[in-house]
Amino acid sequence: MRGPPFGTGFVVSAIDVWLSEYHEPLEAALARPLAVVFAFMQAIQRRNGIEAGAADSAEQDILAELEAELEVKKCRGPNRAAAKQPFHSAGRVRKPSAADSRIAR
Amino acid sequence: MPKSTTPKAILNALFPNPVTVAGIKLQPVTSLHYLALEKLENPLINAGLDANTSSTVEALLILSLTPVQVRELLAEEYYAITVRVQELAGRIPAAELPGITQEMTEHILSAFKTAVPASAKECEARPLAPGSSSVPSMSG
Repeated sequence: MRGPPFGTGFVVSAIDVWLSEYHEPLEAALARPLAVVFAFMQAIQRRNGIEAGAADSAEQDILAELEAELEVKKCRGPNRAAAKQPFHSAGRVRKPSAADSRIAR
Repeated sequence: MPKSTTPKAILNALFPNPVTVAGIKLQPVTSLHYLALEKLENPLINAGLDANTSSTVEALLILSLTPVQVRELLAEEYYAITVRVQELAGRIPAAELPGITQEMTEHILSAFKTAVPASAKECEARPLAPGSSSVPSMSG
């Protein structure tokens, strides 16, 4: 029988990426489905890996759609302390994404 | 209608199909579920090689609870967890027991379908294909 391809360390790393990127308390992040967290991690890593002007719009759209779907609030850069603050006190607002524009239309 | 660019594996992650094992509805696997199984040293997160009926039902109990309920359960004494496992085991028809380990393992594996290698180079070699049914996993 085949087991999970990753161990606990990978799961914890994924949550760390999530907290670095999004404004959410740890408890809420831990309650996100792993498949969703991994999907975000993948999209974030791909975006970071190809952000030197070569990011294609489809990749950006996927991440934007994920963010819009789950209504997660973005932190700017790795900032776990900020991630633990209430959203309203941090004064950060996610830029409208391509998905937001489509929804608005 | 514009064609969706979101890979199917990601859509499945956002909108998972309900999974029922032995008549018990499972929750999507969260980090909390996974870490709870790790804390309980449940063999199901290690391919279920040493899984027995008790550990399988224990995993079934954990994965059937919401994250809030998992937190509450872990706050209890281990004896209380054992009692809950026994209660749940009493509700499972014996004929269904042999297949449960496999189904539970599959449910846990499904949470990893969107996990991919961390390095950008490897990611470039395995692009997200719109509409693809799964994203390749990596070993190690």
